[in-house]
Amino acid sequence: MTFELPLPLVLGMVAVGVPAVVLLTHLTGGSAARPLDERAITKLILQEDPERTVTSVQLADDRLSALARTDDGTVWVAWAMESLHAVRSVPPDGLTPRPDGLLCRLSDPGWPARTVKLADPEQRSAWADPAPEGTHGAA
Amino acid sequence: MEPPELPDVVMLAVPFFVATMLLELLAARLTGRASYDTRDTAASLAMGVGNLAIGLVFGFVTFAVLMALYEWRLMTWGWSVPAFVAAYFLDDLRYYFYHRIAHTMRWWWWGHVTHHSSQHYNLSTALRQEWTGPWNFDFLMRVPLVVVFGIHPVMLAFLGGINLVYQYWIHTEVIRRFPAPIEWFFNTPSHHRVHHGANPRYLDANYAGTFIIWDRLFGTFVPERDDEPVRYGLVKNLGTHNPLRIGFHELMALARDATMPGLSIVERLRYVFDRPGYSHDGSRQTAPMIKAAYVRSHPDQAGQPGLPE
Repeated sequence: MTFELPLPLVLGMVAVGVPAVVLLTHLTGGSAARPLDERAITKLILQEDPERTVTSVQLADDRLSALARTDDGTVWVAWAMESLHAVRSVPPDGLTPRPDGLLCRLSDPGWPARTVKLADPEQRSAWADPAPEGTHGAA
Repeated sequence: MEPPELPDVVMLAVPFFVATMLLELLAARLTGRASYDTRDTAASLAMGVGNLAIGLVFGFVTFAVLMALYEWRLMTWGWSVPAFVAAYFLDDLRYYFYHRIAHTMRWWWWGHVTHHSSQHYNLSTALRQEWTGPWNFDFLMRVPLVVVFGIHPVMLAFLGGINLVYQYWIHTEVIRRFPAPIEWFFNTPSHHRVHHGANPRYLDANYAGTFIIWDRLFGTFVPERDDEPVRYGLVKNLGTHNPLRIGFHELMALARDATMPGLSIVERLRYVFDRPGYSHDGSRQTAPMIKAAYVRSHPDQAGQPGLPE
């Protein structure tokens, strides 16, 4: 004879335990997003591509996302992922102007389309333009 | 001889999983030596629950296949205590090779990437498991143990459960290091932190399940360095906590790559079975390429553990 936990008891522990861990994580501050800053974005990009130089950074209005450009003309997008951040390069046609910002599409299943909030229309058009004069390729 | 009744170790460990996660969360908030985010934790636990459910449903299928193959065994292993211990070592060696393949062949990486997709390293990360194991034929790696050694599938299921529970507790930053003899022989939190690292020197290292000796033996061991904290996650981290995207993003990317127009058959097959990061036009980087690039920019570190000459 072996010791077994009855399946309903195991399922009950999962049904109570999983929400308990998630709820306690939330109640102890685990849902707070850490806003982005230029230093964090630069560090992330250099981790991905150490040979590049970050030439410009545009923080979103809510600072939970940002755009950056490197010396080879590549545009990058960064997201706040709760207390951590993630960054990816954006394809040339990946930014579409929207009334509240720029919709960023990477055609990557691991990176769903989201909007970088930018209220200023000039900023939107400057980043959405695939080759604005004096910015792309600037060293 | 009929197999003895053996418990389902993973089911027995469920209360332990819940209690230790709560304790680690407490330690994280009090000491700062671990980190928990809500949606990351929820995603990890959703993946864990899904893995458990799929294991319950489809585990019977893979078990039935192994039982059928057991009828063709070349020898019979037996049920003595030494037989259990020896089988654990053999199955752990099997795990080492399965795990190494899961990191170096994209067909197995598309499932295993799930486990590495969190940028956090805590006990909930241990439960962030793939939903697709039965469908990418992971269980085939157990066939030699069943057919050649005659180890009964019931024994393998029991030992596999112990190995899985062993690997659970090493997913923590709360424990730093054990005394040297333990660190030399066993897989520990320190060794496994390296395995979850995206730093160039930590990529493709420390594949062990329970015994780190396999990595030492086969040249894949890399020690954790105090002067280089582990950066957890993937080389290109995900921008989502959606469990469906976590579980299937790499399969979708693989399918898109392998079916893009204009490729030769060999290139398509390489997208499926070559290393993660392979590309027919050289636009992406595999782990060895990343390591080589790192050494080019840090020539003083060439030849250090985890880095090429």
